[in-house]
Amino acid sequence: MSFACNESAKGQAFSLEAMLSLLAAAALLSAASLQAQAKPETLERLAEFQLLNDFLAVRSGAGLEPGYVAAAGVCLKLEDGEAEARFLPEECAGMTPAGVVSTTRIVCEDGEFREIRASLWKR
Amino acid sequence: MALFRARMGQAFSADAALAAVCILAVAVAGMAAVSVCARGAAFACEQAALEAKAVSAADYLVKEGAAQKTGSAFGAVARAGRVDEGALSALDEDWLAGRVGARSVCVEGVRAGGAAACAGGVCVKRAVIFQGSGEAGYLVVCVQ
Repeated sequence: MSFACNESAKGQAFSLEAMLSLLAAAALLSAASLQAQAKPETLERLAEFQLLNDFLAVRSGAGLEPGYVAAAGVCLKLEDGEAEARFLPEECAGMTPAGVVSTTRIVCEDGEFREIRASLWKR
Repeated sequence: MALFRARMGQAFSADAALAAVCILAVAVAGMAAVSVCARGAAFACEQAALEAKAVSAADYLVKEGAAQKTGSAFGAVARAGRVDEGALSALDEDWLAGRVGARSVCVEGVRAGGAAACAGGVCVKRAVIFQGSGEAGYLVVCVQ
């Protein structure tokens, strides 16, 4: 084999250009594999937001029970003005929520307007 | 700098041969990565389309298709979020599937504590109140 064009130093396997090309190729491949692993866009957040608004509508019409909210596989946090936050089901109080969707609604109850803040996240 | 002097039967220098092998390896790996990305993107597109259909179908049913209707001077007015169980059982699922462009649609009203029989594909759950009993429940819509 001939290394005529490459006056390499002892122990040097690659030229600087070849090393740079290899590094660039490795970076491209890593980027491609990261892109392939990226979570695709979904309408999951929209569905959760609709469910949160549904819960607020049901709260006004029939009331919300912990078991009913738990059946949807979600946690619901209701903050009614100055009152302490209410968690449905109760075990959600100790959880660290991730991927929370929130909304605020002004409702007229018992002859006065109150602001209710609701948050929902998956269990 | 010394000039390259080819020997008998030698096509590439060792550097060039190594570079060619590296280029081939990168090209093969790149094509494999593109193929995986394309397959993933196609699956994600299909899932997103099914989700859109399920969300649309559920929204239509909650607001209009299966919503409780009350008479008014302007005709029947739908009450969003209150489901008429009669309208739900009379619903033609094949018609709804055709309207949203899905192979099949399964629609079911589930009372609190009950389990849904609809499964498969992409399912959307909406919290509703059933008109007759005034109980809270879920409207489950699955699209395939």
